[in-house]
Amino acid sequence: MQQRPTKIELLQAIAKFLVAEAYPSISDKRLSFRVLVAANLANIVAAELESEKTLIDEEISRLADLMPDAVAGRAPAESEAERRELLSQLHRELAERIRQRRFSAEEKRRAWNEVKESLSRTLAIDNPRFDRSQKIE
Amino acid sequence: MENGHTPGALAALARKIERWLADKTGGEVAVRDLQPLPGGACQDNYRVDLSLTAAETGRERRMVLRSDARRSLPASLSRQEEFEVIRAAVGAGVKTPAVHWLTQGLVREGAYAYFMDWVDGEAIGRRVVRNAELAQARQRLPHQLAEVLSKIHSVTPGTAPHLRFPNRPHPDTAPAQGAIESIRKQIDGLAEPHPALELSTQWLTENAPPISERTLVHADFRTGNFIVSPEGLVAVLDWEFAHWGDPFEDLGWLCVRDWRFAQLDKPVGGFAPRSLFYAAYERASGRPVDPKRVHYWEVAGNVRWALGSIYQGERYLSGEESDIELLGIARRAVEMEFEALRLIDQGP
Repeated sequence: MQQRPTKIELLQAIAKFLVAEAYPSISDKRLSFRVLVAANLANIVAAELESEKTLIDEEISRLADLMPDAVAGRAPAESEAERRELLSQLHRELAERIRQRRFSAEEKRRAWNEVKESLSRTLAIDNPRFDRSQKIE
Repeated sequence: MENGHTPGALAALARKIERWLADKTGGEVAVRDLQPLPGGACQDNYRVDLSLTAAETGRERRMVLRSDARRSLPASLSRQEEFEVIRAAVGAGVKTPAVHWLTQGLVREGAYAYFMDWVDGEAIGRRVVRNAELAQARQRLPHQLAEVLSKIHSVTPGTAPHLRFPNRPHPDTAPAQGAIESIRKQIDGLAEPHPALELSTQWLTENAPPISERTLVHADFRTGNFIVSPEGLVAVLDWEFAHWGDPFEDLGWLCVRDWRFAQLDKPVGGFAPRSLFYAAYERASGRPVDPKRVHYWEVAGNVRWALGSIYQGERYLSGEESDIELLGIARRAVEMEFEALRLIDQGP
């Protein structure tokens, strides 16, 4: 399979083309706004491609830490597809345990921190300008 | 959305409006211009320029024609119900465009529609909070909006027993309970698990304010739905989510982070500090503001908007709509999910 230009380079080029060339030439305000939205989405995908492997691995390991019984006895997930599937199963398990109040107070506190951490990491990639500090008026 | 907006279809609608309004007003009517307006998820809106001869209507009028779309959003009002809510709001002195001539079948078979006065001004949120020519307006907005809110909240099941909100929980349900039910239903319809929404909804359940007061709540009272001119507030729009509820729901929603349009240090709609706005609301309404209750509804508002944004994306993914902005909005749900947890951690 052809590697260069890479997927990330292509997406970044699409975003750059939309913002630098297409956007200034469009007079319709609604249409030009959509062009910026499209460029932003291409940038998000590029940024996610760059870091998602690490992100998925780290999240799996934090969730396994929080719910060791949910992964006990499982064959390790090797391929990327397997790891994605595992992460989505762990998400479902986590949502289920929260809703059914199956966590102790201590576990719930850890689950809370884990969920917030995971959102925070996604935001750092998808929208780095989003202020993630705790204190906001 | 663009369906049926061929020049031929628009011309046919214009003729239909002329015939119907001539009959209704007893004078001659000409449609000078008719343009579909973008944006409504559960209405088909048109801008219509009319020439009228009947004495009581005025001669040249620009109006909005609002008709039920084929599909409605959960918990939203039909045009028939919305018409009555707006009339009650106008009756209470709320600055909102007056509505006229409720009818059925004018735009589409069986669909309710009405006409609304057109108002000029700026509604785009990021311009309202930033544009230099609106600087003076931003000074006035907190006072004007507090005044408007107090008037909306003066309408109660006692003063307007004819108002109906059929897509909402029974009117005797505690307001927070009603909100939680609606949130739960939407979470259950999601394609993916959302642990963050489970956590914040659990918090909403455990911290529901035990209150019995119920007033008219606008429920989409936020920057982006106010028409603003350099002199200040012109009108409040978008009544489709109105219902009987906790008046503080409107205060919390106005402070939701996304409606600050990046002016984070001005928590009230991106244009005012909380203390100033709360004091203005207390003066106007005589109702002391309970910051804990506003905080509760601000959390609920973030959960509601996280879900709302995910469902905006579904409208694209289902093939029903083709606006790429819906996908951009859906990808931002994580911001509201994070903000709800952050707000809970921060406390009132």
